[in-house]
Amino acid sequence: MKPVLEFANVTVSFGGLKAVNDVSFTVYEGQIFGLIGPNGAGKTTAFNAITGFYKPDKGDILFYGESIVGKPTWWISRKGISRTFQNIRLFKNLTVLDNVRIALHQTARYGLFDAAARLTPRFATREEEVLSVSAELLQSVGLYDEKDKIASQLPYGKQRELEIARALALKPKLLLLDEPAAGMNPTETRELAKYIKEIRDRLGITVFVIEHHMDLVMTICEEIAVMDFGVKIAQGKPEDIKNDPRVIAAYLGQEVEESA
Amino acid sequence: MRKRTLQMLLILLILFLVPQLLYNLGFISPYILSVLMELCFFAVSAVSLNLVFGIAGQFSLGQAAFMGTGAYVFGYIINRSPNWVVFVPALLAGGLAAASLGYLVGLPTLRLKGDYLGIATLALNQIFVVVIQNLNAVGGARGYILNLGQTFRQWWLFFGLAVISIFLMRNVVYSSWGRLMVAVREDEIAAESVGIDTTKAKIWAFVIGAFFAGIAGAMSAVYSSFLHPSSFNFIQSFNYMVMVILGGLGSLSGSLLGAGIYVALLEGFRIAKDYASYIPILGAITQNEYRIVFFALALILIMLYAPKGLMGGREFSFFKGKELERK
Repeated sequence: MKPVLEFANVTVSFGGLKAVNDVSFTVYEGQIFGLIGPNGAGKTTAFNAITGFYKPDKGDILFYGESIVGKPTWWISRKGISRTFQNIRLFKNLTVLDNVRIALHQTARYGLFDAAARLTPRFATREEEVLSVSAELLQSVGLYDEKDKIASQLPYGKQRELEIARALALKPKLLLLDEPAAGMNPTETRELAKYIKEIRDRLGITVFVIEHHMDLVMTICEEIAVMDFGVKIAQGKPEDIKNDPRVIAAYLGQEVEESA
Repeated sequence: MRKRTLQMLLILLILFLVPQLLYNLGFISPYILSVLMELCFFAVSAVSLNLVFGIAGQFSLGQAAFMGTGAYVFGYIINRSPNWVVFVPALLAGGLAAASLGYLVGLPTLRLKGDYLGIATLALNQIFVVVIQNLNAVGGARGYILNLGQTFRQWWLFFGLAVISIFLMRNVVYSSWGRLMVAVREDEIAAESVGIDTTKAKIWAFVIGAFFAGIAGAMSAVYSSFLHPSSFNFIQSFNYMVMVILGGLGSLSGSLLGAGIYVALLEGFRIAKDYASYIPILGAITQNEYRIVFFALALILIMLYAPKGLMGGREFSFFKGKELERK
């Protein structure tokens, strides 16, 4: 198995607080990798370091062997890592279609003069292609019939799916999902689990997911890393993680006598 | 779609021919035709500012500086030899000069957000005025007389330039280029995360907007044959901002409407003044200074009843690109 993402001894600190403290793990091609941990454990910070929003103080992040530390977010995203956000970040006031269409800017590559003067057929053919690709993507999440709706008018679960569809429009090699099941009911969560598996199986995209919902993580992930207070405390198969005393302690707390 | 293009051409032809014929037949005065010419470059400038502020979301108060650059560069070149051969290159030079200024200014300032960008572009405008005031080659603070006569001051030229400029801008806005700008306006973080180089998108918006502002400036130079630094101070920038906001941010046809209403109100009050002078008190009220007061009052009313601008971000359907409209 080829390593897709290597997170090597990364430290990210804000002032005196080490939000991510010397954490290492590797995500392999074709995996669904889970990162779990209680609130404030540093999971999202890890994502933000991968996607270039934060620059790690120490350590290196490799994507297919190439360091992506210090690169701008858009560059990393074009390189093949796309993400969703914990608090959905759609283009709220734009239509569902436009949300996907914006992400297809590489498909819609034409010069300024092609766009302005439209003397060549390039504009028309590329836009045609953009439309057919976005129709496909929207159909895959069942949003095609709502393509002309404003994104913020969609129900919450649909907004999450639209965000995933938008991320997929970038044809990523690695998909980062930040708490995709947050705020979803059990039925929606089950559907989401199925959808995430489909993304991996059908499109061959490696998935890296941060999650709170234990059921979701346990059913879909092949490998799980656990963080607590910025430190990685465990890593392994779901069954091992479930029974790991350190993980249980982090989630449920320890008895006072024990920790003292 | 063929049919639509023909329809559009027909409408444009009528819009062009009616004022021209009315003027030739003596139904409208040269003054009215001048107002229409003014409307043409106001519209180009308003649409170009809308591209920067309404579409790409970059609050710029330097519009007059870009127009001024276009006007002065155009004026300087055309003054060497005022003939049609020089006209088009001079016009393009004016636009490109403004675009270059947009690039140079955009590079450092587009990192600023909202109000801060507004202040920075306002400062640019002030610097521009001071530089021109001290530039003897173009007359400095005395102003710069262009020896153009009436050669270029033709309705068809103003109308044609406005149509072409606005058509090109519309095409850019309703293409992938425009979509990227809209994405930057809506949510920069989301835009970055879908692989959009937001700095580049902003700079492009600035450069394209400045180019057409420069063209509008060159048109204004033809219009008045006289350039003065005070015609390009920040008050003028505010005027264009007013047109854009009046019409609605992000709506290009709104900016046309905004420019139209702006001109109609200002000139309308001027005409109203002539008639009002027959009525005792009203005559005094509608003196020149008060014209501006009533104009402002009308603006306040429009803003109260249509806070998102008259078009509210929508667009007349004929204004959208057919490829993008079909969806």
